[in-house]
Amino acid sequence: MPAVETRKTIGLKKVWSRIIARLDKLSEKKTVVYSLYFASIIFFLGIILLPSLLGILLKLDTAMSVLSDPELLKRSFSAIFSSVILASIVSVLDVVTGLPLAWVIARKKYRWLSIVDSLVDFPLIVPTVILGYSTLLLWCEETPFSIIGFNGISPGFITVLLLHFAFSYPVVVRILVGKLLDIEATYEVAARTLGACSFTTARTITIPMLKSGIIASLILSFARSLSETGATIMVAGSFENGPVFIKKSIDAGLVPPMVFVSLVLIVFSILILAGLRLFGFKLKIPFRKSYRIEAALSVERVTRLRDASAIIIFLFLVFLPACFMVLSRMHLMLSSSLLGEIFTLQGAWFTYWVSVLNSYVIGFLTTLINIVFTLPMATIIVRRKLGGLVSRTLEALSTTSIIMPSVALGVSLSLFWGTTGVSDFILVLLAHLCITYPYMVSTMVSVLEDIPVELEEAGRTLGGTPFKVFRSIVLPVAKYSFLSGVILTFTRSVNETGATLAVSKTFKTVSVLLVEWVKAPGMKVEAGAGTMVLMLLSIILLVIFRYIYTKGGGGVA
Amino acid sequence: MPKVVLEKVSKKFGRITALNEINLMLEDGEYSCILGPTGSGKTTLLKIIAGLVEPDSGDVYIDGRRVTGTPAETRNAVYMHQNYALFPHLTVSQNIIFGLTARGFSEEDARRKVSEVLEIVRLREWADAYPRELSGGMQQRAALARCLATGARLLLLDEPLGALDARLRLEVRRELSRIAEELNLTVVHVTHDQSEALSLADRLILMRNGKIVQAGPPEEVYFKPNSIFSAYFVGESIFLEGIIRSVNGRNVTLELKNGMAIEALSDDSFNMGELAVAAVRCEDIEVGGGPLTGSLKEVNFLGSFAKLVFELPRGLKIIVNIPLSRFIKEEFRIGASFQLSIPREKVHLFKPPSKGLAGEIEAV
Repeated sequence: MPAVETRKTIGLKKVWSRIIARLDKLSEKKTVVYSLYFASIIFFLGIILLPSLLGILLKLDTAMSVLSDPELLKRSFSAIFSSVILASIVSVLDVVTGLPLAWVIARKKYRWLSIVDSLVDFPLIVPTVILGYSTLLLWCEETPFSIIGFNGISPGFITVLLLHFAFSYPVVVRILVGKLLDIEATYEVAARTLGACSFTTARTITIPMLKSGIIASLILSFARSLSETGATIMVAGSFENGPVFIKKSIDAGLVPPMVFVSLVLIVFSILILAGLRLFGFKLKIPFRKSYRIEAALSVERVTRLRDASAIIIFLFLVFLPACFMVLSRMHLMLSSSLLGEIFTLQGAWFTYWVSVLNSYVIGFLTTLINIVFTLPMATIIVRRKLGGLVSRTLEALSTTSIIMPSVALGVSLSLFWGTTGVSDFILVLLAHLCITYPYMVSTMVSVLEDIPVELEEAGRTLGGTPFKVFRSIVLPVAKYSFLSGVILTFTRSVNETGATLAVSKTFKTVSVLLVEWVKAPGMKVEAGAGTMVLMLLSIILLVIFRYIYTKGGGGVA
Repeated sequence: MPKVVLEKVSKKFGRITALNEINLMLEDGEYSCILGPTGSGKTTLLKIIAGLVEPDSGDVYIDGRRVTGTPAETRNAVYMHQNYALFPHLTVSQNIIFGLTARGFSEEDARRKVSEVLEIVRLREWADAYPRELSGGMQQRAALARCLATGARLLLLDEPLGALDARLRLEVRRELSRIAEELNLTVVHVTHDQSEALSLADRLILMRNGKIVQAGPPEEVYFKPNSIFSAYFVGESIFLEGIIRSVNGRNVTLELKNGMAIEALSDDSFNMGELAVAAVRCEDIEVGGGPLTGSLKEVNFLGSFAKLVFELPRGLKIIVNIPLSRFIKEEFRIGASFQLSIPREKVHLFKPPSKGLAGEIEAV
């Protein structure tokens, strides 16, 4: 038998190399390359941008009815105002508390730091809705802090704030660590030898160089906070921000308020984000003076305190909420016969595994399709293939859907595609494509920006076709940022609930199912077990993926 | 037979004109050096030949085939970047194999070729090292090996020695010239270092502001500069402004601003009373027995020669390079008065530039 197998693999290899050779040849043709660019733009406009907006825009006339109802108008504006205030506080808090932790991870050399480093990513693999439920348990319903006299708070603004902080914090830390590692320590050494204390050095040298990373963090956490729906509803209590209001009006069958609030939110956030991009870079941090207090802040005792509090904030406000639900149910899971039932594929667990499969298929397709279409897009943006104006416009537009409340996006998509009668599977896929597209584009853009253009030029004049240069130079050199983009897209898709719920009532991804379980009476243990299994699966998948990827790179393919 | 022809090639980047109607022909097996200040369009010219930049207008021919608009990988012309652009994730031999598999070599042929080129650049023991493990000079040779392995006969080098220290630069310069000759390569080498260009080139192409100022064998460019810029950028010259006082056949007399006069040879283009600029190589000025008198202001000992700065009346400065043999024989005391003379055949006369002499030279 092995002989047959080897023959088979040899045959497969041959076919594979023939495909590669064919693609190499094709990529030489300008018409092919330009049609690829063209296709990626069509995909972006036709699948991502227009459906997300048009569904809403088509109902624009109905939105006007909100204006004539003063009560509704007041509620709408109060929700919008809450959203903007919340998002602003969250993004500032993220950067202020995330920077010290990023600093510790990037600059300090303690051995246990690698543990903290990998723990930072952990909350990303928890479905946001589960994080919401977990937050609710931790701070309101089953708080373990009752032993120190804290009896929990009632759901409201504070719980929403804690939730949003928890899910946006890991991404901010990741961005800042990456940027900090890019800034060579030599500048800091130079500043220190010129007589600046460490705090002054950070303020005058490192933070100004970190500005692009800080702005990116602000934008991302702002946008995430503005658009998150599913988990927010869970912890909101009577607090009402934009997405909660939209969800409530959809549940009540009211389209006009949803269209109205979504539109105002989109316009608002585009203005804020554009302002942040334009003026953020011009903002100067004062650097002429050195303040006396800075020397005191640079004393080792103080910096240790700062590092310690950064880690404590992370552990208690981010990490603990992420795993509290599983932790708090651990004893129940272990004491019941549940663990055995999980793999029996019966009753509820059958539905569970089907939904896991659904999630992974959708996640895989979403990632794959996005890679195929965002790469040419990123090339157009970074290498200015169609001129500077086109590049800048596409770059700005491609991140628009990041700020749409995911429920509103879902509703818009179902309004747009609903009439065409496409299946729920396709609808969910389309929704996930729209939601993850901006993340993928911005990752691809940064991948290409980090590759020195002379490496590509060298590859081309040595005789490599564009496709060969891409797969054996660009991809291996940028593999880590590429990998993180893929992981981000995949996990985002698996964890998505708001838009998925809005486009389909029947097609269940695992996150949607878990939300149902959490809400259903008497399923609390199962919900905990299901979440735990999903988290374990994600970890295993990540490890496998990382292994294949690192093994695959290196040689000349 | 890689013969390269450029016809009326122009390129603009936004409002900046990088190349302005360049016409150029490079013969097979010729080693050309493109010399010019920063921003003169050298690299753009090289990238246009390589196919990495498309010209706005004009045509490029390689081997008589029009290649304008064809992709870089089909031109059989390798471009070597200033910082070598070695692929950081590949070893030296994998870097070399890249170009070979791209050109359809079988694995076995590729291996043979790798050891062959590594032999040429003397990097055999470093085949499995990653670029970051190599010194600057070795990286340079590895990049060169990668270019040579492709079998391309047209080599486009962008400041290939720029990142090396002075001693290594001399060594690699000899190496380059040996390899180019042995393999009969057509090389276009961009540099802003005149000594590099003078020593390596069969043909020197001097560029400025997107135009070719002068092209020819290095000796010709050096001894017969066709413009003030040529005289300024290649070699070391002084410039004297004055008025033509007499014309006698080819012999003319130029009266300098301080009233002193020098003799020169000219073609017919100068008339009495006309303004002119004389360019003289610093090593062509003789100390002793001439029409000019000045006092010695500065002495700079530079190893194989010495640089003397004389001040003449009305603030006129003349710099003279004298050989070491003469410098150690005589006494050059600062403040002493010296006679200076300039052989008339060593004076190059030019029309005064529209921007003024200072404008012409300082605009570089």
